[in-house]
Amino acid sequence: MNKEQFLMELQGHLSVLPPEEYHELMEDYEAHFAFGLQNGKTEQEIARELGDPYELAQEALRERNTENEHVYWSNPADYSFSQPSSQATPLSGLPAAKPRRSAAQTLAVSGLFLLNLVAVPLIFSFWAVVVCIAIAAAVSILSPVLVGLDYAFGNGFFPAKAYASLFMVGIGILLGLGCKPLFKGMLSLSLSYKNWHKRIVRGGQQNES
Amino acid sequence: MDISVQFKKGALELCVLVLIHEQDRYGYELAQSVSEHIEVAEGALYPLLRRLVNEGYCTTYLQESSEGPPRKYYKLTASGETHMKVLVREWRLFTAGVSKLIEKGSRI
Repeated sequence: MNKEQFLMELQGHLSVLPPEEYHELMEDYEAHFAFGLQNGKTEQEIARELGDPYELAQEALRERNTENEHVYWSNPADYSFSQPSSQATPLSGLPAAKPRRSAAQTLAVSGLFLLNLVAVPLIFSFWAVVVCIAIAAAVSILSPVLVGLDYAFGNGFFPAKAYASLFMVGIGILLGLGCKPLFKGMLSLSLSYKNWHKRIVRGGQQNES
Repeated sequence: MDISVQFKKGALELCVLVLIHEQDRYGYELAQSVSEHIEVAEGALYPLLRRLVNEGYCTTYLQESSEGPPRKYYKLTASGETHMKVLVREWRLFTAGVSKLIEKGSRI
């Protein structure tokens, strides 16, 4: 592969980048060719040393997405085999990614337990309220049917009841509409509580995945 | 991500930081210096260098040369130096641990 082929292929794969980044990288590679040629290498040699354009483009996209996500050579917690019993190496740069020490971890979990004693029933009762509203809406919308049944069982027909049931249908529809955001809100509340809970239990190691 | 990719990436980052710490260098020079010691796709350097700059570990400056395009030199910042030291220490701990483990295993 010569210089032109290499750059063309790279160009194709990198065109998804914002123009500024794209141009900077392309300039880097072009300069690399220029310096290599100056040092008496052939275009083919240089292209081979640079590597596969597709792989390089993938790498460029990956590097872009993994900014601030460092490769650490040690997870301090995993170092028991080289430093028995020591609270190994306070050397990771990101305090947030550091696993919590076991004592603190135990405390955090017991704290969560106490919190859950109140929070979980509370969340359930919120859910119950939302479900009740939904049932109320459904019944209100069905109220004409109930009036119909009432008539069918021979309790006579009262226009007031019929009008009242129409009124209830209106209220039911409004309640029903209100249910959707309530459901959504409760769902996201429950899920985020669950995820937060999981993170705490794992010791704030959400960066490792 | 594939563990071997992680490995090479981490090693390359470490090599580059150490080389720039030694003295300011431009991309091609870095590629040559790295290739002297380890086999690597030299092209992977440029995305890596870009990231190091974005993260504030390096700065760049251009220097005209008598022939060829201007050279983009990379210079380590203070935070880059700290980062390098952390990585070097972790590398040493890690490789020492692995060597010990291998030694132990081969004695059996």
